[in-house]
Amino acid sequence: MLKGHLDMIVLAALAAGPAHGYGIIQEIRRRSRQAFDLPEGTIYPALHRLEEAGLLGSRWVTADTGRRRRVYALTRRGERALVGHRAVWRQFSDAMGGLLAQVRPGRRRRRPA
Amino acid sequence: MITDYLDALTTALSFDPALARRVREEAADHLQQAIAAERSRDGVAAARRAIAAFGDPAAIAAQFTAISLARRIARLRVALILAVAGIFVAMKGRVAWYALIGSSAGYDASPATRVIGAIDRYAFWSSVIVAIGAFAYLAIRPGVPVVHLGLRRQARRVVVIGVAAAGPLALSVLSDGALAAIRFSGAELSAGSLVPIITMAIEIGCICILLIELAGTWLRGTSTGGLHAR
Repeated sequence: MLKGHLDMIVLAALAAGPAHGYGIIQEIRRRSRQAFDLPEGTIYPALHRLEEAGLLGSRWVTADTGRRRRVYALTRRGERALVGHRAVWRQFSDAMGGLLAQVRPGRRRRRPA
Repeated sequence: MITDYLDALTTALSFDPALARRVREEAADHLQQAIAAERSRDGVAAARRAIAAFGDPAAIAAQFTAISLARRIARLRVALILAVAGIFVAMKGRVAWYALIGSSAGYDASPATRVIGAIDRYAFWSSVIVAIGAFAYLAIRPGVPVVHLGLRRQARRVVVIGVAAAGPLALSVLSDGALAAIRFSGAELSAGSLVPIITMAIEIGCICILLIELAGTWLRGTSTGGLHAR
């Protein structure tokens, strides 16, 4: 399930501002209260894919350690995509909430005779 | 240990050297940060945990195959436009030069040159038609960089269409070359010969770039296939 929503998760993590791969992973963990614990390397194919699709931009910066670091940021198109994802997700969440609200835990329907 | 892991990642991504270099640098920085964040006294254990959390190099590389292939298809598309446009401009430039210096293009001199001239024209325009078809196909089915086997199939189709466009284009360039050779056979080379020679070089360069891009896309498609099969 997480894999299917990875693009939305990455876009949401970058909504706070530009970040590098490790920072994005930490942001996802923090904001999901450790619920989303991805294999860290999978973030990079997602970042490259989103960049290729024009939803993210990236540039090299030099970190304090002197090592080069790739920093990603949402583009205008990425911001619009995130707004779209959010609207679809809310709609889905409301619909699912309504559906599951009818389910009472611990009670089963009797089989028809 | 980190270097060994980065080497394995680079090897797994060897189907795209530029991508491999970039991902290696990003992964190196990531792992360094992960180890530093642990503040562990046992550096080896921290490195082992950081590598385990990063994931299997082959699995990561497999996720990059579609992105790499989509980039390659986009490059081939640009190469196809540039080759057709470049050859067209070079051909027209040469004909304009012949007109300027008061000479015919060469293919009305004898039946043989007339036949070569006709082959040249028909081959060029048929390659333009195939190239337009290729663009229509790519416009309908753009190379969306999503990991799926369909993209590899699409890459093969794009290469086949590209070869169908490049074949007549190469024939057109060969015909142009034959016409230029007939025209200049026995004639003394002068400064005025430079324009036909340069335009022929442009045509040959364009067709070579297109063929290299076609071969590269084909190889990328086949080399990424093995990773997907894992």
